[in-house]
Amino acid sequence: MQVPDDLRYTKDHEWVRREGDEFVAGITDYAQQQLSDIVYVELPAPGTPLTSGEPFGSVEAVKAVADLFAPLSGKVTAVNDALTGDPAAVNRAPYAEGWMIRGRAGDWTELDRLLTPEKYRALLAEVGGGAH
Amino acid sequence: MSALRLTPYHEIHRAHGGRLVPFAGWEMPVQFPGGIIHEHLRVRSAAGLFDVSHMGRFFFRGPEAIAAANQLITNDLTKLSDRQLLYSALCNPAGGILDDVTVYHLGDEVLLVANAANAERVWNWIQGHHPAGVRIEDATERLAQVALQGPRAEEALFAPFREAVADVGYYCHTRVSWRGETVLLSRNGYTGEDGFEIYVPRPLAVPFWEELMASGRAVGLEPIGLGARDSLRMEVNYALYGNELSLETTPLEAGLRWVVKFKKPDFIGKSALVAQRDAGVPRTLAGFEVLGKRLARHGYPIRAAGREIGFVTSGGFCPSLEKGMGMGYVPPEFADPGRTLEIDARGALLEARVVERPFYRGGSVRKN
Repeated sequence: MQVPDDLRYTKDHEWVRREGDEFVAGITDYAQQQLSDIVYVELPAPGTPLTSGEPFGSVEAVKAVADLFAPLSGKVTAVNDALTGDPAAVNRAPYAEGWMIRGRAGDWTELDRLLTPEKYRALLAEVGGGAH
Repeated sequence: MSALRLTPYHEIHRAHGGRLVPFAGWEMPVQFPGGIIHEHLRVRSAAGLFDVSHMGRFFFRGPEAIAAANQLITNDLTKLSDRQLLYSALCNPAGGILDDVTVYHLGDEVLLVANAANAERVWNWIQGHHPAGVRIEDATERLAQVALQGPRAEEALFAPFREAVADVGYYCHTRVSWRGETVLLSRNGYTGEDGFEIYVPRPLAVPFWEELMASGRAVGLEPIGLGARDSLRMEVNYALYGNELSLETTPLEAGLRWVVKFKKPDFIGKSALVAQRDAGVPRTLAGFEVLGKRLARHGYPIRAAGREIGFVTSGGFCPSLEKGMGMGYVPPEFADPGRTLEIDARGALLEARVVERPFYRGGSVRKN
């Protein structure tokens, strides 16, 4: 179970990386493992406003559908169009080719309130995800 | 935490990296590291081995065993030879489905196999409905049960089983002596492929699995979890209890009229089913293809003509067809192929079109 040290996390199992004025977000290794075979990722159009904690898209896996929750408030600047043809990239590389949205944050202090890698690992240990 | 029941294969699943989840009171593998799509396609192209020991296995014994079991089921056991089994509904007096079962005519005894989720209810039902002269046994713990499925299932078997099944037809069974115990095999399954349900006395359960995995390696045999079991059965439109089947549905509504034998003198639920047959069913199962990439899921409302007309019983991605498909109950006038429906996916309306069933027709399942 990968939990990279340079990211922040939400309790809904999303990750965020700050890149200059923008952020990149996706779902965690734990989330993709729980969902298993992902067959479709529904993402918003660039320009769509984001409110932290509110749904902005969804992930369809063979067994289940899951909402995607915005880790930060702001606005979508780009989405990973490659996922349309290759949704399994989220399973293969959730922190790399499997990224989902790029956005401009409205309030960067929200980032500081997200889970650190240590806290996210502790959360996984609680839900039983750390044991694998 | 209440203890989950474990099958004889629990440690083997864990060693194979199975993701173990609670299912109907048992801890069962939902998938192995290859994932559901991989497992699904493996069963369609080669062979897969399923642990289905969580199902309920109940015997009826004595001269009246056939008659006693026959009274409980809608299908007709008296039409079988002692080499055959059948699929049936088990109804309450109102015609509601208590379970769907396979029933083996074993000559002087009958084996009835129930879904894990209904096993306790079915056992209670059997206890409450068997005549005094019939002895009954809950053999769920005494026997393990595995399903070997796929076009290469027969090739995966080892001696003496492979030889023993060569002449066993579809929905027929045979008993094989192995290491001093009797193993029961039947040619049937839940995937649309050729294959076998196999009942192994518990002391031999693990050796049998290990020998089968070893002999099947040459044809690509892999262990398969419950996730692919569900996608495989949905693709060929086999009903699942809790989805298509429930106490609130009848076999006539569920597309199981072929297992209701109205010519039988009597069975529990017959009068209610006769009445529904004569009056017509208020709803029927329709199979549909979802247009677009979103998927229909169990429980989503189905809409047409501007109103809610039914609900999705099963839905998801069909790996062999690479499409989102589903089934659901709708009034009969909405069930014709080509009809357009809308699926309410948590507020988003998905366009769907009724299609012929089964969805997948390329399976290796025998028809004789």
